[in-house]
Amino acid sequence: MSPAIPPEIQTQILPSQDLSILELLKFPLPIIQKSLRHQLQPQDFFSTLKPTTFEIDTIRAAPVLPLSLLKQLEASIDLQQVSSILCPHAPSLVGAQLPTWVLAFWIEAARIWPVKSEWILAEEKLDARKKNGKRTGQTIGLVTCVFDALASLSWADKVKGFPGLVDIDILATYTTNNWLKDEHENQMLQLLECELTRTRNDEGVRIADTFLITKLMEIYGRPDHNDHYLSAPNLAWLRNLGQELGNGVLDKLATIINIGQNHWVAVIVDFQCAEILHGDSLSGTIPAELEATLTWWTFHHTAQHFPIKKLPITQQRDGYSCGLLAWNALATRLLPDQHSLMDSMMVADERLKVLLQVIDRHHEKDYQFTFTKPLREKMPEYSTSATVTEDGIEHTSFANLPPVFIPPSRQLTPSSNSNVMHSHTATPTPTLPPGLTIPPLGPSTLPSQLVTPPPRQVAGTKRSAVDQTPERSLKSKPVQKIFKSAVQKVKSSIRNALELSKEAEDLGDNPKFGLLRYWSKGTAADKQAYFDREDERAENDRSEKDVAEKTVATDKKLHERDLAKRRQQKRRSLMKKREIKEGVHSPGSTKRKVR
Amino acid sequence: MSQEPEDVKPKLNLNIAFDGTQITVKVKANMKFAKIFEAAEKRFGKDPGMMMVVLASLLFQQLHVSAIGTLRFTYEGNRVQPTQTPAELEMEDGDQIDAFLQQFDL
Repeated sequence: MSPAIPPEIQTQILPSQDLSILELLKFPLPIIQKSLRHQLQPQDFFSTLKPTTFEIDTIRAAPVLPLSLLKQLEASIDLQQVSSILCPHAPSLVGAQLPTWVLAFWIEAARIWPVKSEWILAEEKLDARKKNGKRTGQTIGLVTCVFDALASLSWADKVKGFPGLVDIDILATYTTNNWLKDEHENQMLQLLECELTRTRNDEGVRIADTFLITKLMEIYGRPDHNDHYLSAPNLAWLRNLGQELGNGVLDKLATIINIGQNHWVAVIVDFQCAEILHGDSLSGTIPAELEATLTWWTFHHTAQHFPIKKLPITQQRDGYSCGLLAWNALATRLLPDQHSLMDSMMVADERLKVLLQVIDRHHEKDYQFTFTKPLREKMPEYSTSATVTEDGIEHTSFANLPPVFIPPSRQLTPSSNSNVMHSHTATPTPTLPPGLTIPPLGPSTLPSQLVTPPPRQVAGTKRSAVDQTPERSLKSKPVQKIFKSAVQKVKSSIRNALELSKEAEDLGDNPKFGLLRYWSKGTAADKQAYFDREDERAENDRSEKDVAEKTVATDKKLHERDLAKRRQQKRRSLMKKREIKEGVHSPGSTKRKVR
Repeated sequence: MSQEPEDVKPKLNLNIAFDGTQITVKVKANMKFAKIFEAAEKRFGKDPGMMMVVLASLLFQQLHVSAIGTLRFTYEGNRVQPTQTPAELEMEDGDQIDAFLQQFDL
């Protein structure tokens, strides 16, 4: 383990995590030594002599070693013997002895370089796009907006507001022609879902992430797929989704599917029109496995064969735009007023537009984080306030009502599936989001019932089909999860206070005060002490009872003895009187001899 | 009543399924998924943080990359975050997490 960099030096030689991406690009990092002149061993870098230089510029001038060699150095350094680090790989620094913390600096720099290189590539691409002869005013405007947005993002942050909590450098891909990965596709799907919600077009449409159909294909690939699908408790959520689609609670399932680990296609399973729409930007036909899976699944829940139809999609003219075009095909189909099929020559601009939307979404969530955290840290101040969440629902907290505090884990890890911001204020009467109704809890549907689904509702009345006995397992209830995310539970003040104190304890603060100590949950030691006390008391009780019993028995015995004694005296007295009367006994109590 | 709180919770057996293979991990309900994912990736032979290695390899050209891709984890169709815990997701003993290989495009 190499020694840590002194804090005052670290701020000078390593970029702070608060720096924006553009500031990171300006921050000087030592160059990377890609190849070494000859094979160097870890011992070649260690010296027992004291460091000769602490100058920042000299240390920055030393190239960073390859990460593999740095790890070897870190593993083999003996701080008892090694006092300084040599630079045999840098001709200009031969003989210079650097402090040992330079090793930690090199390792950190080697970890930051991949992030920086991503953004360097992005910057080059954006600059090139600005100078391109085919540029348009729109392109220049977009590039300017992207640079402005990059100045507002922290390079070490995570992308907030999306399913995957990924590093922010993944956004650099949008500015390049590199392949889009599942993280990007899921981000775009999340954007589409948000847009559907905000335009109130989300009724009956389920946007699924890129893994849903993969899961279905995995199930269908099993030889016992029917039995497995019907009986596996872990697939209850999937059966519920199928049932909601089959019953008419939902109309469409829209998603993007990865084909062969190298191509994205758009798919809309339209249960209302009983058809499967497949959009391939390379004009390919639907893969047989995918078709078989979707046909099996839809038949399972509707007892109908859904024909495969083409989803209108822009044809791809390059090797990297299928992910964007698949998303565009979905957006155009679901939101025809807001979207249209994009020009295949303008995909680079469209990628930048998506990037800006992703950054906007990130800032929305980032703002919520910074907004809620200080309020949570303070103790509650009861007052009337209104909070408008992003779904447009206004939550009002009334005076003298304790606010509902959200645990930090919930706040710091926003559920991407929840479009409802968890307000820090209590909602006295939780309201349902538009379009949602609470289905009554009914008996569980047997798996066998899934084979013969109930007939679909006619258009216009299908929303009432919510109450058509969706399958309910003990714990897998997607419908209820929607409510969980949409409706904020109002907890008791004691529970809230306890949760707060637990968080404070995790953070090392003084957790308990006043009544909280009384309501605290007992520790194992407390429980043991309680049981010991109870045992002792029981023992005491037992001994007291024994003594009492013994006393009673003794008293009873004495009493009986006394009674017996009295009886005996009485009997003797009577005998004496009788004997005196008969003349056997003299009145002076002297016994006369019987002759 | 006692004074100090203590979390004495039973461990959960969670199944993690990937590519037809299933493993079981025994975890505490309040353990972060980051640790669980790391263990699962090792068990499935997918080194955690492989993407960083790939990027580093582009720079240093010296690291050997044996496989490309990390795993994505979902529970009941929803993405599981490394910062979440089984307790947050109200997981129970025997619940299953699905793992998927990172997907690329053309």
